[in-house]
Amino acid sequence: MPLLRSHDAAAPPADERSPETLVAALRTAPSETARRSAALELGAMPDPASGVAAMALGECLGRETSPRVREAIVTALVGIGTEAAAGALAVHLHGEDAALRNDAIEGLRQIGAAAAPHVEQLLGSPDPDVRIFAINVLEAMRHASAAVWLRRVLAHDTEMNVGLAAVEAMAQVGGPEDVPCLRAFAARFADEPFVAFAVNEACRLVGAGAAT
Amino acid sequence: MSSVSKGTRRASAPELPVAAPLAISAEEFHSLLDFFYRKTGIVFGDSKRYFVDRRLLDRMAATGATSMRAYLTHLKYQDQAGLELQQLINAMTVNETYFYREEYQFRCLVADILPEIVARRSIAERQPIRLWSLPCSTGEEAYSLAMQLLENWPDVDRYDIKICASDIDTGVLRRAAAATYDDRAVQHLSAALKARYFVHTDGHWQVIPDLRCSIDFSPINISDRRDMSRHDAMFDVIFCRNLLIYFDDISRRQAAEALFDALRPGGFLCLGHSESMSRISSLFTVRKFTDAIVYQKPE
Repeated sequence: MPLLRSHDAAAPPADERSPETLVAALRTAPSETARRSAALELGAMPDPASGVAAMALGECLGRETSPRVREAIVTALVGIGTEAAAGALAVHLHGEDAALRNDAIEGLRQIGAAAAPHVEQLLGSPDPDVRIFAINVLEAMRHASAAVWLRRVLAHDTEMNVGLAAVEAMAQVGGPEDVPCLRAFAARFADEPFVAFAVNEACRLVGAGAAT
Repeated sequence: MSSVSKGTRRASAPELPVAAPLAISAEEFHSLLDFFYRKTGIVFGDSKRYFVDRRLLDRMAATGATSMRAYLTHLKYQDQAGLELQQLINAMTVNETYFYREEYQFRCLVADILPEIVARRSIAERQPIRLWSLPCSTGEEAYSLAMQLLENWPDVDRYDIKICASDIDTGVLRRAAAATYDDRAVQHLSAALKARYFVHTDGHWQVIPDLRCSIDFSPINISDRRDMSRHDAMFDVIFCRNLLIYFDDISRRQAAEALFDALRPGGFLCLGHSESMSRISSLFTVRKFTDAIVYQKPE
């Protein structure tokens, strides 16, 4: 029979590396595989090293050019899952690199509740695009305060597109009690037919019929 | 661990009396699930309460724990060698599978995947072609792979081939190595295949020794990075079917990274029919073949 039994398959487990060694590898290792490996190992660090790991991962995420290493860094931060890890991702929502922003949004969504303080802060950003990204995160987080924050956006945000992102998110996380807030938003942009359409659709989805 | 669902597999611990005095509060239930998730990546929802409770009560009885709190304390702080954790894993994972399950992927393996792999290497290359069945459950998938190669891959005699098979459940690994199955497990096999690769005695089907010896079974926890890193860049093809559906988003993401690292450049990953790597990770290239969609690690 041409099949061989494989007794030599697995290598012995590698020695555990210190956070400092891993951070150095993540920053400077020439090989993509080595940087990926360092990132994923940092993500598996127990407390209290996870704080240092989160900071280093966040810093390296910004300058890393390999999509595979970036993905490993985001996976590591999601695995750490703390407020510090969320902060290391949140900062990249301000950047110009669309792929990196998308990675950060996905990571924040997966971190969930621990990302909430950063998301609330991002909702107050002077950059409307960042506020929209924050709403994109909020929509998937299923956080207890999600509807409260979305109501605030609908009531006060001056940018129509930010409000429309909030309408879309509210359609997912809101309930019939959010209809007055949605209607009030539509009234603020009464000259925009698409706003009326979006609000009507959201009201239907939250179970309260059309907001006419 | 091919599935985690209500099933018929019996835990090894003795059954509790019907009116068991032990009870598990909702808080204890979630605390245990959180611990189990951190160790294995496997998620149980509230709908699995009955399934989990039954097995927990069995393990508490087996270890003499008089309360859930005592059992959790034992697991977290006294079980240094991880022996009870392994018993709990064995009890919480149910393994339902059969030979040639989702057979279209086996067709794809010999028609498309292996020809691509061998086209990239010379016959003189000393590295064998390595296949990994993960999780392998009671071995049906790994033996099916071996039979498929022997029966349907014309080049099988030209290359060294190693098939590894791993699972987090050490109980199923023992059963996989013993390779004795009931009629249900072999129901999709032709009479000719059964005659060639099985011995039928006392109503059971046992895989012949030659085939049993061709598979290397070993324990693995896909959620344990150190455990998985022992297999970095070792495999040409990984069959990881119907496992990721039991993980949450974070564990799936980590598993995708581990599977990526375990593959050689250009290697292939086969998932279950209801699973999609595209929703988990962008690391892999989607390959659409005649019989199946599989995922490839870029060269």
